[in-house]
Amino acid sequence: MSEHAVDLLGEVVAALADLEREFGGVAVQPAGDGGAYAIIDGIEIGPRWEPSPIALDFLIPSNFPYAYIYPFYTEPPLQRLDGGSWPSALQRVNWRGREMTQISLRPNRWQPQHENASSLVYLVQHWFCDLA
Amino acid sequence: MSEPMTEAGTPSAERRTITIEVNNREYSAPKEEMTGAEIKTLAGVPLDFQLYLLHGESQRLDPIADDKAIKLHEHERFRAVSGQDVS
Repeated sequence: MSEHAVDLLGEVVAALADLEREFGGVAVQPAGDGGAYAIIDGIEIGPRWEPSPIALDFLIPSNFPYAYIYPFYTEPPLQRLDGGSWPSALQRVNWRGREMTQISLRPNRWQPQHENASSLVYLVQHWFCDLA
Repeated sequence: MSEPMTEAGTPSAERRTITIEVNNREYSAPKEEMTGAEIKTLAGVPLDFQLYLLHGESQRLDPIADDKAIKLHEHERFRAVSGQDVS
């Protein structure tokens, strides 16, 4: 992460540090505007989904935390194993030249003075494990 | 000559505080058992946020209701978030 730090704005670097502390290694690519593309591998999403764990791709916007991280992406194919209906939050899209599953989950009253990047990743994980 | 130490001043009578984390910030819990609402108040997060207990090994979130009292453990970790929408 450190070799890219000069390309990234301070709040984005802080968000990456928060994510790295919580989830271990974060692969980072500068977005060119001060934001960063990030990939976190090893996110467990529970026994109802395959594969699990997954990698989450997302953009930390240059104006984070005033803008939040949305949406998240993961590599297809994602399969639901419990026979439940396919959630509307999951759509197949092309993102950055790759076929991905978009995870359309957003905080409904984002308050950056209280919330942080890792909370958003935990909420995605919680949604897969307990809500979807 | 100094006054004899009162019982209230002895270490054994000191109130024990427990350090917990809410959204990665540390707080000293004033008692060993607190409700979800009390933990949110301690951390200064809005009461309409949802509070979760973060389980260390699995990193799973366990929702904690406002009126649910839980026994706190040292360095226990919580997340308080505004909520989540599918869009």
